[in-house]
Amino acid sequence: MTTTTTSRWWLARAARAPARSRAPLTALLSTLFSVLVACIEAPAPPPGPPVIDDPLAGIAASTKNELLWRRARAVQTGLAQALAIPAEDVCRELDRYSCVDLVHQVQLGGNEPFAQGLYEPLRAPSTTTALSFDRVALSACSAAVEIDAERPAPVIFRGHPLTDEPLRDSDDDAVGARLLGATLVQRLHAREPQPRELDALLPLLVDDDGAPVSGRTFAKLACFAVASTTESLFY
Amino acid sequence: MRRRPSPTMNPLVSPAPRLSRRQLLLAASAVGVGAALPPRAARAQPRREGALPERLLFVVAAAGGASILDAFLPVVDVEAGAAAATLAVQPGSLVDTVGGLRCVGRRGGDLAGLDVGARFLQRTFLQKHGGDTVVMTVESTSVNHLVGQKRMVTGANVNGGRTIQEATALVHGLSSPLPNVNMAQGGYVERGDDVTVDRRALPEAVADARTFPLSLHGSRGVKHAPSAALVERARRVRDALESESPFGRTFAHAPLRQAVLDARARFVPDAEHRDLVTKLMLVPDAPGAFPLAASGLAESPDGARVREKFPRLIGDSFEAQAAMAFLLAKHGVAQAITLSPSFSPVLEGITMENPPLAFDFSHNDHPGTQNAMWSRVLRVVDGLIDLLKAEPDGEGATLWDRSLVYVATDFGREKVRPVDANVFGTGHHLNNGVVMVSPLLRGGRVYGGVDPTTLLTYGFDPSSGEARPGTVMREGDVYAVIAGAMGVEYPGRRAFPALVR
Repeated sequence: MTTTTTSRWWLARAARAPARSRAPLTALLSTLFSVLVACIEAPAPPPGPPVIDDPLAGIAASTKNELLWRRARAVQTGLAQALAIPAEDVCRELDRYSCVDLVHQVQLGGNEPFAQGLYEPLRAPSTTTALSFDRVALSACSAAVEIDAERPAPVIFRGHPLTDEPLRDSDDDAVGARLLGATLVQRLHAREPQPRELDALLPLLVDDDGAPVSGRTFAKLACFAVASTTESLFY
Repeated sequence: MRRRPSPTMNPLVSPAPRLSRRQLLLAASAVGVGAALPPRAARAQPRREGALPERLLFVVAAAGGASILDAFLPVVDVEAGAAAATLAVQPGSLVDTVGGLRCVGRRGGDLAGLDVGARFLQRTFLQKHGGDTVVMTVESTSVNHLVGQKRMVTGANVNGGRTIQEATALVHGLSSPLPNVNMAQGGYVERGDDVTVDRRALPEAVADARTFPLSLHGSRGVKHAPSAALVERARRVRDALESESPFGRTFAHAPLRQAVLDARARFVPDAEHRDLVTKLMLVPDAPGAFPLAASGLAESPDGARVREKFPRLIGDSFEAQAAMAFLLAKHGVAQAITLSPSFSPVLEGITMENPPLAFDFSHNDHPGTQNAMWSRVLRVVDGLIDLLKAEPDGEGATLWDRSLVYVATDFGREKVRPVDANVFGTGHHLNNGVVMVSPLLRGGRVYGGVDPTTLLTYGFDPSSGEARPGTVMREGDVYAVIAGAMGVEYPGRRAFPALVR
């Protein structure tokens, strides 16, 4: 719909434009048409997957590096929405103290004016931020899987049964893992996954000894691996 | 000469440290010993000739304005002569002398309608630690709380804006997990103004010592979490995701992101391998408040020991901080540790243990507040020193033998009172003095003095220690004394041979 609307806008604009300014546009459309025809008429590529050494090769490293820290409450809200759980279920230490409002508040970038007189939050993550964020992400993922397992049909963690039975070590496991990985990247990072990211999750189907883990465990581990990347911590 | 920070420098993240040649050598000697071995093991090794012995700095922030005239530098009413009626002097019956130092006894009475605590006597402190106790006069440069607090730990930027905790951490702690732990508040918890400080030496702010150990393990105690081994496996997958994602590629060199990745690579495995989540867990397993066992956690093997010394640590954050300070030092986690009483009130039954605003409640009741808060601060310092004295350092000495406790405070209090008033309020005043306790200092005496007719303190000669009326010491002088004891060097550091051993 958007593409069609944009095309109409361009055509209408081109029709209104004087002939002199219409010439470059006409040339551009002509070129695009030629390319389209060439693509349609091109011979079929040889069978087999295309060989792409690095699909991210075209991405240049930022020279400005202007990142913003996604802080305590934003982390909690983001995880709650992405994993479809209540905010208060994201993380509670000792099953009673809020991670974001109390225990890890300062490490996650919140300010604590009452007990510590910390009127302004930390300017940058501190050393223990890495572990505090790990705990919050792991807690949120573990809670989300447990909550999803209780639902008649899982909302997030589709692909494997959320049981404690070890997976069957079949090709279906990889399919399910990729499906779940794609869902997690879409929901947690609001973008489409890269094929290599989905491949990277496959080792989590087994433990360090090569034994298959359960669907429930895989779901928690995959969620944690995606949710605790720095992409969740900065924007 | 220190490099001036460029206006374009990102203040959020410290770049590589710019050290003088001497600082570099000192830091290299500290890192050289500890880099290849865990710190405890490193301490057990014979010290290399010429290597700087490790020091421990404890900054106890007497937040709100602790007047030295209400502790170890009191003036008795008769000494003030005719001016006594309008000066904040002490009644002769309250002042005692232990060794070379004076102290103020328990006033009693009430504070905001509640009994004044002050159960721990200043006299007791001097009887136990008087030989290591130094009183140094100082006249600071700000009566704003936050500014004054920060200047008392930066020496009013005498070392390029580096706090004394950061400077100590740089010399002694770069191989430790968290060399600079700061549990204090306000200006005491702020980082210094030197943007070149290695980020490992920046303050690690701790809001609550009782739950802080939970920030030292990534999965232990997390409800419904997979095993630690599987979580570790997921972390390795995460590392792969970091390099395979467009975000990771785009911000591969972003300092903010790199700081987190560095902490994952350096700090996380170290903290978890050392089992700091257990070693520092100072609270007991209590199904109501701290259900440790039910969460797969356990209390520190030293838990009972620190709770014996600080029995109220569960309900009193200051005691919890002191217990944590000892555990951090014992386990080689930190070399610069800062703590302070809260500005929130702490009640013990009908007794006011910690008035609101801590020492700053002196605006309402100066004598009662100062008496109660000095007792509170000295009781906690006493407990900390007792624990350090009882802890062998693996080299035939104790942790206390290489420790220094600096009781910092924002500023002094006004020296006047309404005629003959026993209960009165005071404002802020630049003129004051600080307390330091350490075997590294020539203790048991006052450096400087006080004019009994004005209650204004004056300075001393750094070489001989002789009092010099008409002069004053500044925040930078206090900083220089501590730096001298800690082995911290910087351009233009003033030497205090009379004071530093």
